[in-house]
Amino acid sequence: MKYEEDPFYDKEYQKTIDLLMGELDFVTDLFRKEKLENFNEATFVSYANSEVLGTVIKLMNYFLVIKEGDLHKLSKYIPKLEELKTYLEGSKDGVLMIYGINIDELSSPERKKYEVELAQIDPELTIKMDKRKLIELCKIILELCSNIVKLKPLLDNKRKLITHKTSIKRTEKINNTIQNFSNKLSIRRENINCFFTKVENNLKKTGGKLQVTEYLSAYYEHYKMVKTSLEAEKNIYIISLKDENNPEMMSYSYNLCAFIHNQLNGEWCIDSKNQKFTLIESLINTLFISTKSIQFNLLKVIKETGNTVPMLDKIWIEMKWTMSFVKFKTTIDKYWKEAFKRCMILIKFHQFLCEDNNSSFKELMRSHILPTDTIDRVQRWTTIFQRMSDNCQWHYNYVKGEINDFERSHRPYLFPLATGVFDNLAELCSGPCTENQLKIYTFIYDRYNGFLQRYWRDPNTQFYKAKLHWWSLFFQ
Amino acid sequence: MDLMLKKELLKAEDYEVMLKNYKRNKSSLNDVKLSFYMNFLSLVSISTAFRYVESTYKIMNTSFPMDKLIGLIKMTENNLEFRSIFMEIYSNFHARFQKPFNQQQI
Repeated sequence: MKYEEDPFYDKEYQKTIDLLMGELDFVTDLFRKEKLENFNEATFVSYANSEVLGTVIKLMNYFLVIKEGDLHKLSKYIPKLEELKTYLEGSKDGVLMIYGINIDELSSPERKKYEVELAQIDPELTIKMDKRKLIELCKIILELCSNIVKLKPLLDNKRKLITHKTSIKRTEKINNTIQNFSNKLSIRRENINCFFTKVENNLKKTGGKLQVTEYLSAYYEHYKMVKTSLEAEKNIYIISLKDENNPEMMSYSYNLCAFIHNQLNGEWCIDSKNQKFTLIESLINTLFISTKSIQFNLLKVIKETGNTVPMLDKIWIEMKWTMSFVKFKTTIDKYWKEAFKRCMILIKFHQFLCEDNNSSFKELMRSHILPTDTIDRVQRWTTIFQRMSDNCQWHYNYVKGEINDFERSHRPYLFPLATGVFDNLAELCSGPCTENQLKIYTFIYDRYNGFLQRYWRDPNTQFYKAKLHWWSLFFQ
Repeated sequence: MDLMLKKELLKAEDYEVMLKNYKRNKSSLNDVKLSFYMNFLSLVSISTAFRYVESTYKIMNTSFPMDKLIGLIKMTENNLEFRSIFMEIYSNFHARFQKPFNQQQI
């Protein structure tokens, strides 16, 4: 026995480390057989956290205050410390199992830094290597233990809540997998399927039928209904417009449409444009809620003017002008933003006219050709996308099967317009409206193919949204 | 507390014998004696948790050397209360750096 003021004193730490590892084993065993008699949770928690892990922390702290000159004398403990580290990081049945955590959850930037430093030491410098190794190992073990001690062992019901099988843990895991974006398409495809792992497993177990699509469509329908009813309830006048059997409301609706029609039929001077766009916006909102009665009355008003449709022509010409401005303006400023908003409003207006399978407006779009144009509006929508794609090079200059990022010259901010165009086309062809389908089916397939086969790095963009809308157009 | 006066309570061999005969029976004389001894030891562990003088270190090292203490820890089996007291003593005297008081300076 020897006692010195010098902090270094070799006291057979081998035995201590062995004892600690034995105790960790003991704690793990006891945890597994917790139904034993006289098992007291509080004592167990205190023993595991304060005594066993606490002693490991004390020992590591002691090692870290030893003078640098004495450090190499401790090099014989390096294998033991490594063993302790691997034991703590351990397998699924190790200490971490008691706390219900993964070693990945405990990783921190400091720990990674220690590991990198450890790997960078030249193996020929033995003494330096040993000293460094000892310090880094102690730091890693110390950090690991201090992180574990903060937690409480999982006991009874708490264990069920924090297992890796809970929905929250599952979602987190899937989210992390998808966040690790890969350049390889095969891995990306696998990642996309992550969401359905549980369903697929259930399918394998039960051999039943996949219900996902049904659930999704049911949820969507429910959501749509709830949203419409909630919005409509706010305005008693607009909701009363829905009543098609009430002659009073129909005449009110007719008057409203006639007023808007007359206003829009006038000259589109620069100073009156704001007012006209406000009118169109309110017409869109009304169309969204009481679609059929407004469509019916608007058509009635339009037909009263004769064979021509000046209001729709003017709106169409305005849309083309705004779209050209939005496409070719080089700087994005408040004027561009204003024009973009207007363009989207006009696209939506055309979409809502044909909403709810309104065959009259579809026919109107098909039969009326603009005075300055050679083809009708249905075909014109395809050429709009064609020109947009040509100007912005969306469908060519890419490597097939690779990820090709869009640059500024590709004007990726115009994708919402493409989405709007696809929505319009989908609306014109739905029903199904065979005449309209026949009109567009031969057009610009090279553009569509190029657009579809291109991949972009960021999956949460308007590009993929536009792609989805294309699918909805062609697979109705 | 002068540990020299309570030296008879600090014999590892006594603890070994008592632990061997431990029956978890409150009316057993051996168990009562052991719980008294363990109470005392727990007091020692608390009082030595931070700092201790050189004489304490000497007494504890002679009465509870490393190997004996390891043996005692293993003998407690599933009795976590006793186990934690022995572990505390072990960590205070064998697994922790303590800068001691120099008795002469006091």
